[in-house]
Amino acid sequence: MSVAVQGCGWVTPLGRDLQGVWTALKNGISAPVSELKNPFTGTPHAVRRVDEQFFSDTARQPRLRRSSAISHMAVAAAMDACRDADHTAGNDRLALLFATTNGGVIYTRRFFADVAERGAHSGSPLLFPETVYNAPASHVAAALGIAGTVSTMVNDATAGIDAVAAAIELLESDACDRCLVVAAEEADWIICDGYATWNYRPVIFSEGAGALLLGRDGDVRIDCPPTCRTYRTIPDGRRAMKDVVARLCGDRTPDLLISPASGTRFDGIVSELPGHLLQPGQALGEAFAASTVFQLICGVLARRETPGLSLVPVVGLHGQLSAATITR
Amino acid sequence: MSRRRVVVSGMGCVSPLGSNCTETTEALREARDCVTPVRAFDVSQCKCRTAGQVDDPGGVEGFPRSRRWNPASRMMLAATLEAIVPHGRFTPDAVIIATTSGGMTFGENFYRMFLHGERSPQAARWVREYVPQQPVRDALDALGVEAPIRIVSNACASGTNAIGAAFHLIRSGRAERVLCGGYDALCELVFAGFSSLQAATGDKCRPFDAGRTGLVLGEGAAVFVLESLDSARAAGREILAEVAGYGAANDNFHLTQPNPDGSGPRASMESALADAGWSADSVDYVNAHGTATTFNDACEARALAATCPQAAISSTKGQMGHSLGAAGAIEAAFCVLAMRAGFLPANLNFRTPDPDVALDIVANTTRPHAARRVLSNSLGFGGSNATLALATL
Repeated sequence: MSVAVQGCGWVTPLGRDLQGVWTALKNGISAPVSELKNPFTGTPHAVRRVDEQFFSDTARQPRLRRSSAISHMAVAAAMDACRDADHTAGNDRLALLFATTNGGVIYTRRFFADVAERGAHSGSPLLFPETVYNAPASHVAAALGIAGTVSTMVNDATAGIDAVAAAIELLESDACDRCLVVAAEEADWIICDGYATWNYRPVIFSEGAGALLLGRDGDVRIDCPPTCRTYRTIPDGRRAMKDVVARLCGDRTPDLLISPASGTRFDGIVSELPGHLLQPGQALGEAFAASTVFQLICGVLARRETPGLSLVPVVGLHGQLSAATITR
Repeated sequence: MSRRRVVVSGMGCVSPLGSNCTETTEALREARDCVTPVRAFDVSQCKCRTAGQVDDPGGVEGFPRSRRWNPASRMMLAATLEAIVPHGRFTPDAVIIATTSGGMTFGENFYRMFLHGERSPQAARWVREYVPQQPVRDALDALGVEAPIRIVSNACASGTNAIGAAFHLIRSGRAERVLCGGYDALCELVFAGFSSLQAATGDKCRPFDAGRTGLVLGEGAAVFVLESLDSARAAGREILAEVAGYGAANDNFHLTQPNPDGSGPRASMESALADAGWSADSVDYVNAHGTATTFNDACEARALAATCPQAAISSTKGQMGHSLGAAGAIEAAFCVLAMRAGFLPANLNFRTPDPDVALDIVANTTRPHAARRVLSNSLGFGGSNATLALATL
């Protein structure tokens, strides 16, 4: 079953304006690169950050005053998606599925720094609640008054597409009338250092949030398998991805392939897929689950411009993959 | 839309009460206090110095590689192994597991490595294995089960949410067999977190008691095989219980505190009852979230009094503490075990009834009772509330 994408919103290192960022991506413009340093070792990491001005604007909201960057970005993207859809009705039948890979890592690292240096009695009560994976979802739900299903899904980049699959389930089972899928990540030196230690080296790490408002009615439709597939090796992943795409597309040929490639060895899993190639990760950086929703939004915006089929393959670094089609 | 009946046809439970369902049933029946002084890290300067801890021998028998794993992975393996015994090796359509902190002790190690200025040869492994899906992947790989993993993390309601999501998948016909449940291992970061919020007590955990002063933390894992009633019957598998309904609600009140009016848990209970098609007065027992914090218990008690005033109530957190993301799954397992064994679990450390809590508390000792319909509540940070409706078949 496909569902309609009624609205989109994103907060990216290239900005927040839906059309502005999309135009920049099509024109091959990349977000600026800055540096995050491990304060203990001095190791520098290149990152694409969301502009600081964005946070000074969102910090005026009372609920977000003490929250981490990830929640600011998630709330802004979700509100933009609702605005994009002209969704102003009550939110009684609106569900929220939040996806993330790393969660509120900045406050988690800061909270644990106090604990590691001074003992288990010395953690900050202001920081701890924001370390919980579902804190951003809670802020989004509060900002929009969502009282129904609110759930947070954590995984590699496939969390973003698994949230779409779960949203389709909710809509199909009539548990809601509309469902917001929001994914967000924040950049921190410990994440960059962690993935580098593990030898996962994307082009450049980044941060941001993306949101899709899904419903039953609309011309632009999204579909994806109910669950992800697993893979062990790159060739294994390539085979699994081809199978997923064949089942999703049937005999239709995608005219746009929104690749998840970000410069890692995992890019090989999608290298043989058909379609005119767009690689938002090259311009926006690697933001894991948020990058997945960035890909999906690109697919939606392309379909708003012209009818056709966007193919969005998603490859997670923990052995899962999936794909979505976006059609009009 | 299809509405198939969904049953539990496999279950594994590892908790401070025991390393399998048999041990757990006996500890539950004896109302054993399984909260002990914290062993894993220094808590000498904290008000709370106890927790419900799993007896972890450092490896799962028959799986020598598990000695290198995070304790969370070992718990997941032991619980999953017990759950799939009736099924043999099989491929579930989905695996939906809850956690709040994943393999966080490895994340702690990674940070400490920088603090101490010594690069560890273990660093890459810590990074790869601290993520929430890894303990699940470790368990599945060890058992030869190949399936995609979905991790649900809605704080303390996560375990109930994971079972609820699996229930919906099967009931609607989108899946035939789903592995679901939750795990969480005690870690210093989370212990320090509840300590910082002054939610953890230096006293005993006394749910619903007038003199309650807070929670103690716990750990463990519970895993279920859910499948359709028809499928379980066709395969001749023993049916442990029916999952009859599920409800969830968000109260949007505060990041860490529930709405004192009890509207969140009340909505989730009412939703679960409606989903199951049950009247409130048909519920025999409610396994309450009952953390023993002032706010949680007052809020939940209001919801219980409004929704199921006649039902017997207990929180089992007095016996093993609060296992966070695992709590909903472990407490659902407790409900199934108690229904099958014909008793209601005890609400330990109960001394003085709270004048604001007019409930039938199963105080301090188990109560013989062949419950047929029970609810299991979970309330979490972020306003998450969830309820499962479980029944004998």
